[in-house]
Amino acid sequence: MIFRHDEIREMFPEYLRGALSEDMMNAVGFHIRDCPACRSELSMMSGLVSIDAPDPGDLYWATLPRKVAGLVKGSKEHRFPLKSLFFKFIPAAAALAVLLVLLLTGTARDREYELHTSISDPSRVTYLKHGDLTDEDIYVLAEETEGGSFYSEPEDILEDSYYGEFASLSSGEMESLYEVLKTEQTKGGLL
Amino acid sequence: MEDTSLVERYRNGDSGAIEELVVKYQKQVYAFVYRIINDPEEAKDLTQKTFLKLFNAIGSFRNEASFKTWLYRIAINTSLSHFRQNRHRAGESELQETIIGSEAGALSLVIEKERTDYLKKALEELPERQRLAVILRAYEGLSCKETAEVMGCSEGTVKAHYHAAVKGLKHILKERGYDF
Repeated sequence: MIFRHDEIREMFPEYLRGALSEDMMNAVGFHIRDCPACRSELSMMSGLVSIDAPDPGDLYWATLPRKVAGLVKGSKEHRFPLKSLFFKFIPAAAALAVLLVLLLTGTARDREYELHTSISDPSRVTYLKHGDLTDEDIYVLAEETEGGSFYSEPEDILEDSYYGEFASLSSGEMESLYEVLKTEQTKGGLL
Repeated sequence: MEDTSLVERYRNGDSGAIEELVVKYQKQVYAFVYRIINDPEEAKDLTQKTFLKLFNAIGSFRNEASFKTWLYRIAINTSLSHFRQNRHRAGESELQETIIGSEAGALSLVIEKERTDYLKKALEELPERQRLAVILRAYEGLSCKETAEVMGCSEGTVKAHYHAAVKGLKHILKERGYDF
């Protein structure tokens, strides 16, 4: 088999290590015998490969594996356990989130209940304080009581509604009024 | 034991696998690093650093390339970054000191030593990629395919770098009066 110069030269590293098949070793051998240029290159490569790295000594070889193992272990221990920390706090964070949701929905429900009961049961209006009302509350009250058709403005509610008068009554007076209203209602009078 | 089995053992928490892998490859890594930076003391430190980097990054090893190829790649990166940072420290006096310090009687040894040292110096003068191609192919005995994997390029590029390196070495040595 005939090889080109570059093909022979490409095999030099393997040839110098004796890592070629017998046929290929012979082919390279024959080629360099007759080719001064390739022979010169092989000589240079051979010189290059013969350069040995100085031996650092048995102590170095004996201690390096243990040293590396110790350092790897140490670096692992000192590494910030982000992942484990993350997984550790997931249940706590979930519990906190559930608690917050429950608290918020509970507050909203109480608030809704307060507004609705105050409207459907006039006798409980005394529990409503003026200072507690916001503009939004007033609109909601207007909508809930008259479907928004009777009281169109917040000031109408504050000025003309009877709940202001109710608020000024004592609980005894409220009881009497309630009794009267009840009686009148049974008679088919006022309402 | 196979490299992949050792890696698996380490991943499963067997720290004994670290020592086995280091024992298996420490001499190759040291010699390889030494040939890149040409300083035995630095080579010792960088060998250790290479193994530390390897075990810290072992989670990213996917068995796509061979363990040896991957190890060489880490050794190259570790050595080259060190080499680039400390290039200015590589003294010219080293060669002269070696020759002066040798025994006067052993002329042939001196000549041989001188020849080897010139080759080492010439190798050091080559561009980085060319030097790597020669070191991996000639010293480490990697095939063109393996060298390409380590260097992250095609086999054709490896061949081109290798040939350019040999040409460059010849030129440098000829300039200094050495003809092989």
